[in-house]
Amino acid sequence: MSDQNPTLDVDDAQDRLTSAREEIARRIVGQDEVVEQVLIALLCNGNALLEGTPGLGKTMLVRTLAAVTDLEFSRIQNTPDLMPSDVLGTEIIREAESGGVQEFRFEEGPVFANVVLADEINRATPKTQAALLEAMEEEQVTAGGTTRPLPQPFFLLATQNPIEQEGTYPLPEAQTDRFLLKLLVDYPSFEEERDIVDRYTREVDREIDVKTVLTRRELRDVQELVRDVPIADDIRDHAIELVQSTREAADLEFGASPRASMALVVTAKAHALLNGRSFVSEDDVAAMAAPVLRHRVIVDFRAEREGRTADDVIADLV
Amino acid sequence: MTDLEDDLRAAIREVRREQRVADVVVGAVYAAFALVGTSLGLAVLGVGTAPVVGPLRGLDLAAVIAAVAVGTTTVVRRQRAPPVERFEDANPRVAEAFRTARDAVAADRDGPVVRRLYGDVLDRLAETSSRDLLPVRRLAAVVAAVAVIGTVTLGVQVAGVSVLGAVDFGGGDGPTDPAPPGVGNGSTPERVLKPPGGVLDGARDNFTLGNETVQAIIDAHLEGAGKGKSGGGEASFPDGQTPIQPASAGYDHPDPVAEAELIREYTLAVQGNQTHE
Repeated sequence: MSDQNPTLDVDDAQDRLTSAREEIARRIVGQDEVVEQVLIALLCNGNALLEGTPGLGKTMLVRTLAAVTDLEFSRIQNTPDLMPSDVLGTEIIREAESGGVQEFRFEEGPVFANVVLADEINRATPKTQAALLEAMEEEQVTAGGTTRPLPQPFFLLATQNPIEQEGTYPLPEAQTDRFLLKLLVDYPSFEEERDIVDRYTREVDREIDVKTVLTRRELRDVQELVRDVPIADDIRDHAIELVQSTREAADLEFGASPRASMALVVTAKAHALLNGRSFVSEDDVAAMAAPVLRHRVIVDFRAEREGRTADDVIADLV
Repeated sequence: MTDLEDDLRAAIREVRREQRVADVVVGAVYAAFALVGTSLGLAVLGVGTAPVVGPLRGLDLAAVIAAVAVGTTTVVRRQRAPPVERFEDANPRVAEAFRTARDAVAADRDGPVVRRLYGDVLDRLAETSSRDLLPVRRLAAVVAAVAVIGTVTLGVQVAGVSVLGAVDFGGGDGPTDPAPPGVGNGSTPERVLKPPGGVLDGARDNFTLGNETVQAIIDAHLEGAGKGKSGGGEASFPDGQTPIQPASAGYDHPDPVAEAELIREYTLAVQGNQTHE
């Protein structure tokens, strides 16, 4: 637990999380599973990679999440000409406030926010990707010989467009492994799309207000509670065995690392807490298996030729 | 150690105890089944070992041994599986939470969520029933079988029905049917002999009759009122050693009729007058 007295008990935390989902649903129609998994990434203090075609509300989802949790939001639109300094910040010469003297002052880049949306990260050059992901991993930026910590809490939500492959730089597996979850954002159903049209075509510049449900301090407490959720020994072992089975599966060329075992257990705990339970069940592990593993394994060429995806293989293993 | 942790440890001990009690109950029921089943088998076969004395007087020793063996084996087999895990199998609604709580207690975990789990598990355990630990349907069937077999056993013992060691009717080359009633005038009874290993098919076959003439005398003499007569005879149990002491029921002496001769003459006179008319 944090050094200070916790502001939330378990029941309060679960009520707040339920309220957060309801507030997000006021702006985001459908996508319940994606919303839940983004919240889980937040509660596990992890970063998420969202993959989906343009126009599915990914940016709005992340922006809404930041509003509901009282977090500062910034967006980085990745392009091939984006430089690392454009993301991390740079030193510029400015006149001192006292006047007359010019000095270097570090201008923080958009990465200095609580929730950072890196749109189309696969369009950035490998050098810019590396700078961004290094900041994500270490939660600090070193520029001009000075190390500057990023704000806490810090979340990077990166998006990828699966259909535009020209002029893109796919993230290498070593980099994707740093993301806690990879979420697939799919098209809405007819009813959901009809609801979206009704909500957003009746007024110009309509912005649906959402309430702040969790403060930063409370979010930190909830993150502590997630780690406190107990897991039975056999369920923990089952999660580890599941990850290890990816290393021996016939349809997979490469399996997941121990980082995936840790990710699976902690996200299963968050899933349990988010769903009102105080213990991890087998269903929690099964629910988080695909988001945790799909970006950490590589499907064998023959299986891929047969049309099998990483999700298909993981479903068989579960 | 928190109070909740203490309560949970006590609950785990209670679960183990109740499972052991359930195992003993199942063992006792199966032992009763073995007892009556063995008793019935012994009664039907007409064999018996030494009768038991003491509290179990009246029971056969072999049946008691079988009951003890079956009961003990049942309890030992059931207790090979961990009692708490069997409780979890019988109560799936509480299984995962209980298992997680047990592991947390064993690891001395503490924290707000863990304490909440302990509280939830204790509440759920209070809603479970010890009856869930017993295979109720199977036990009900076994108890019913015990009642039925016990009744049958009693009937067999009272009726003296036995497959082996039938009463010896004397003579003959093979199993024979008893002589038809009314025979007893000293002539050689006509017997229907079944061929050894053959089937009686209704066809008259020629057999060689025995050449031994046996005279059977049936004594119909009435004895005093209320007393039976010990008959003679050479009958004995199959072992040929223990004699059978048959006895016939005694009859009450008929009440003597006063002036019997006078009443007979009067009756004849009345019948004669009626004839003339």
